[in-house]
Amino acid sequence: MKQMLAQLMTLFTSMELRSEKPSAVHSSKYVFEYLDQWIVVDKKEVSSREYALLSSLLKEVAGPSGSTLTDEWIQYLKGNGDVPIRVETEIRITQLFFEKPTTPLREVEEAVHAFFEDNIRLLPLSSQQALLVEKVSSYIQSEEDYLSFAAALESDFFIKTKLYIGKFHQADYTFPSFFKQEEELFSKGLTLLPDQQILTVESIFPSLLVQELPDHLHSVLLSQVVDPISHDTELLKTIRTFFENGFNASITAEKLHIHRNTLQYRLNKFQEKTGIAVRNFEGALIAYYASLLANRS
Amino acid sequence: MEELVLDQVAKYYGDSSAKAVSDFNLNVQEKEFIVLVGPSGCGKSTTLRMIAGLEEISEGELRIGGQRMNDVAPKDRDIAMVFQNYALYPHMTVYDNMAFGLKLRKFSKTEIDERVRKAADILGLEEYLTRKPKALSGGQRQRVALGRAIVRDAKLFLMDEPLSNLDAKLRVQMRAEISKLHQRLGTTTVYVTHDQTEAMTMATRLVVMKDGLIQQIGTPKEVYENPANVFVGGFIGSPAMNFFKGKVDHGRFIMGDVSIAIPNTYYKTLKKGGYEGTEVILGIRPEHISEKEDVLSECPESIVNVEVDVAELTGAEMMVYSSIHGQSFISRLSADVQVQPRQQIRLAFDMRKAHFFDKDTENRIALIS
Repeated sequence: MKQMLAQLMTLFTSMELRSEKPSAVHSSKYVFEYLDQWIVVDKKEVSSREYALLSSLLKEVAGPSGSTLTDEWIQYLKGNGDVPIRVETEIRITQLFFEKPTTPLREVEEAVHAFFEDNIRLLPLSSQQALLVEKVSSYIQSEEDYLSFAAALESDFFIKTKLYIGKFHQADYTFPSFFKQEEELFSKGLTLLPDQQILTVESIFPSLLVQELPDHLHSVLLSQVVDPISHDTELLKTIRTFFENGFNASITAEKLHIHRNTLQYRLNKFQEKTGIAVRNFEGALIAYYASLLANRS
Repeated sequence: MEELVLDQVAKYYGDSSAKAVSDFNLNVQEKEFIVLVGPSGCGKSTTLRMIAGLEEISEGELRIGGQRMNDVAPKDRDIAMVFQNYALYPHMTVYDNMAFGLKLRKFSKTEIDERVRKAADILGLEEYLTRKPKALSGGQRQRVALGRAIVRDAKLFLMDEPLSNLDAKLRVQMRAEISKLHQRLGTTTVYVTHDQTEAMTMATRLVVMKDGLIQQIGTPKEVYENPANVFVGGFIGSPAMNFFKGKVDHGRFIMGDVSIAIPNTYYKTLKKGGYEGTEVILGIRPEHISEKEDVLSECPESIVNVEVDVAELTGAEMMVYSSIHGQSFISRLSADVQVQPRQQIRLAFDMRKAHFFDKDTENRIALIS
């Protein structure tokens, strides 16, 4: 190991070995743990391949409590700072909203580490908001993983958490504006879909679109789809469930606790009354928007 | 645990006209195992989460031991929750997973160790304490999730579909284990499931829900034998209760050209209720339709001749699908009956076990004795 370290020092001229954990980590430097010492190296000097190699051999660390790096991340996401990570890396942000003020977040940080280990970093924003920064890796956390994480928070901290899972995007100068868009989506999603725990652009966008439609297009949906079925909410719920379950009749019937024949009867009834074929993509689209509109009103 | 009471509890998001749960009234006694059951979206999980304090109560009152809990923080309600997706920390050992909640509550190391080992002993997890969740089977993971609840020594367990992630065989095994655990610990439990078999086999009392409303509360036997309405009759029991629309006509139930006798006591009730000459719904469970000679001779006035559409041998019994006047139904017959599709068969409806429901309200017409 000593020999390896010596070779690394030759390879990276900016590399220094410190016996104390650095009290502040500048965004232009990487810090790695090495036995009881810390290796600090300029990011400029490390290629992405070298970084991958170094981080697989050594444990990358933040400042003393991570606070400096946290601040850097927050500044970066606000568009006021440098990228606190290699620019080639793809990241995504999962936004957390705690329904009630939550303290101390230090304990939540421990839970985050126990759940995701080093792959995800918690950035506390306030007593009700935090962010999870996930670097692209061989294992991408699924929606199910995030649901399980939310359940763990509920079970251990009794925190009701809502999450917005963002999309992976290059961590470069364009990321802050990309993230701002996701922040706005989350904020709208919290109002539009108050009973959903996990939100994504896919889940929010249809409801948002319906909300943003001008009045005359609302009238089109109402007169063409909702009025002909006399505002039958059960029928609209049936077709919405059918679409949300990928047109799968068995799952839809099971979810609604109705027989498959009853489902078929309702789908036929919808088609008879509106003239819209719900198995056809365009038909499904207008019927889905109408069901969202009816649900909203 | 002292009595848990939900008094006129309701939940709505934003607009009060669209309620996720309405008029929810329930008194839970100490050591009860209450199961909230219903199809997805019926409000059962929302109700459970209101008890936990994870959802605010929009209307009504939640009391534990006579004390109003609406505004008590969830962590101070002395409850433990178990979820469908285990809620385990992948990078912690089984031991640490179970200890984590106690550590947060600043229990001493000795106390934590004692509680974790005791829970591990109860759940048969002693040899897995150093493993991480990834190295466990689904059933073992769910046991760890139960362990995380047990170590809290809470007054109330709240379980939200805890077995839904397991395969059918394991589910049967785990539901027996949870029942045994309840007998052993005696902790009052509120359990949510959409699976009526799970509900029937585990509950001391069931709360059947639909569209945010309680449809019926009762012991599994009460609910099975006397469903409050068509929904409960159809939801509880597998295969579901059969329903036939027909007319009450001078002591007989008429479905097209098929007529069967209504037992005298029930007929009197129907007549008194003004149902003579009107359409009602007859409900009869598949096991109350029989091909056996002794039943046929006992019920000569309620025999129907039908054609077999499908016959399914399940092993212990034969499920026969047929129809009367376009209304399909299932009969649960003995396994040794010899039937083929398109074969004519005589079946007796045991009308002493049948129910009648109002066609409009779909509520059961209760027998007036």
